[in-house]
This record gives sequence, structure tokens and C-alpha cells, in this order.
Amino acid sequence: MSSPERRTADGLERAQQLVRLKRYEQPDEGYFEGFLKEFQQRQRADLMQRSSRSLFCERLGTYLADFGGRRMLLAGGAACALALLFVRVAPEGQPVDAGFDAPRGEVTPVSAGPLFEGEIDLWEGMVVPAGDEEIDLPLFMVEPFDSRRAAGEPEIIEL
Amino acid sequence: MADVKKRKPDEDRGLVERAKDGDTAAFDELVTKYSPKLYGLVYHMTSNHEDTNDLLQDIFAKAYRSLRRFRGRSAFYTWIYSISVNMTLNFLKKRNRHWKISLDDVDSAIEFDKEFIEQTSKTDPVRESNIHELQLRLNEAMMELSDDHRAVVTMFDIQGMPHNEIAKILKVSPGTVRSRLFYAHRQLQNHLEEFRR
Repeated sequence: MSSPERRTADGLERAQQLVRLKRYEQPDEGYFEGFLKEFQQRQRADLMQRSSRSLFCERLGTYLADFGGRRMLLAGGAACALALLFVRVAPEGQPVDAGFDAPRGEVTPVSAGPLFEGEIDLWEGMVVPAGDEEIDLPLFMVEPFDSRRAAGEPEIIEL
Repeated sequence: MADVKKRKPDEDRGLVERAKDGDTAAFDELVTKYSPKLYGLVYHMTSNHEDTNDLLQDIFAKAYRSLRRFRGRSAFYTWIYSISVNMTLNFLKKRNRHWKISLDDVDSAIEFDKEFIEQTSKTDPVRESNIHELQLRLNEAMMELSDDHRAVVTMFDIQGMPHNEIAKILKVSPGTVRSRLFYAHRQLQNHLEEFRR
């Protein structure tokens, strides 16, 4: 080994020796007995402070982990895939059986006829019914006729 | 190092099984057994006693909560070390990057440690220097390393663990551990230049 290489190797060894001295750094005597007591106290306090919901979630998590998280995930995935397949495979136009007795009846088509029969009085802005019956429609549905606007002339604004 | 090599992979199995069945005394035994080793790991990575104490409490609490998920594929020792390293690395990411070591963080008890005095008196430059100063510089040099490099130096140089054990804990190859160590030693050498023989 050449001299610079030797020096580097010595330097590395020296650095390691110095770092190894850190193993003598220890906490005060009696620290570890106190540590265990503190741990037990914290555990108890934690148990008291945590909500029943978080405890339930944690226990459920542990239970599922015991049962086999991956198997649960696979089973859930397979169930979802089957459900999707069933929906896709059902013939188009045929209702999917909802699994309960839905009320059955005839559906009568509704024609798109006028909602009322009559005329609209453009001057008064009201509906004049064709028959005797009165049709109560709100006035905002029909605006009064404005001849200027109809002719495309500019609107006169009164000040 | 020999202590770690001799370790049987399942030596804690009985205690772990009992703890899983709800025997809190069994878990207390595991805490008593591993707290000094894990304290060293966390302390040398954080360089702060208070942070170490809080983190160590959290580590054992986490281990207790996750114990039923521990399948025994690795030794309990490897498992709890992995939890400790991960939690410490997460903590260090959150800790203020401008955090600096002060003299208050330096362990004063070490100055009266017989073994330490014996070790340092064997080496000429250290004999001349202030032990407190050396400690401060050592801590500074350690904190200059990246968190990942500090973790391998702590486990290998300070705690005497073999490469393959560290590799299992960090879930990296032994080659990666060796390369991190080499790089970290080079950095430490530069920082501790003045304490060279």
C-alpha cells in the first residue's frame, strides 16, 4: 500500500475509533426503571383518552389483519367484479329484477298538447280563455306587446 | 458484535406469543430487554436525550399496538429495530433542519465513565484535548451525516451490528450498507481531522 493510501486508511480507521467512543454515552443510572413505569402510565392514559370509536377501528383493523387482509381484499374485488358483470350481461331493454315485488301497472302515454285553450291578449297581457272557465296564470308569463321592440326600433327610455 | 451474531432468531418467541395473548408482563419484559439498545440507536441518531425518551415511548407503544400483526417471519429484534429506525427517520425529517447541537445536548456523565476515560487516555491527541470538546465535535460530525448514513454508522460502529443484520433492518442489500458506511466514514474523517494521531 502506497503512503497516501496508507494515510487514508489510517484516517478512516481513526475516525471509526473516535465514533466508537460514543457507545459510552448512556443515560443516567436508574433511567430504564423509570422508563418502564412511564411507558405503563402512558399506555393507561392513552387507553383512557382515546375515543371508543378509535379503539373500535383499531380492533377492527387488527381483526382484519388476523383474518388475512389480502384475502379480504381479493374477495371484495371478486364480489365487485361479479356485480359489474351481472349488470353488463343483463339483456338491453329488459328490466333487472330488483328482488322485490314492485307495483305493476299500465303506463298511458301523455300527448304533448297545449296546456290551455284560448288566446293571448297582447295589449292587455292576459290570457283570454276560449270557454267559460277562468285560467289563472301569473302575468309575468306574458309581457305586454311593445310595437317598437317588435319593429326593431330602439327602446325609448323615459327619464 | 459477537453478542449480536450469537443471537438466535426466535429467542423472543415465547415472550412475543404471551404478549400477543394479552400478557402485559411479557411485553414489559421485552421493553426492559430492548430499551437500552434502542435508546442507543435513537440517541445517536437524534443527539438529544429528551427527543430520544419521547421517541422511545412512541416506538414501544407502536410495537405494542402492532404486535398482533407481527408474523414472526423475522426475529422480534429485527422487527422492533425496523420500527425504531423508520420512526426515528420520520421524526428527523420533521425536525427543524436548522436544529443545532448545543453543549447542553452533550452527555456530561460520560466524563466520569471509567471505560471511556481508559479508552481516550490510550490515544495521544485525545489526551491533550477536552473530552467535552471531543464529544461535541463527535456529535457535530455525526449530525453532518445524512440521516441514512447516520443510521448505518450508529448500528455498525457504535452498536457493533453486522452488515447483513443492518441490511435486514433497513431492507436494503448488504452492499448498500457497505457503500453507505464507506461514504460516511470518509465524511467523518474530514470532520474529525484535528483529532488525528
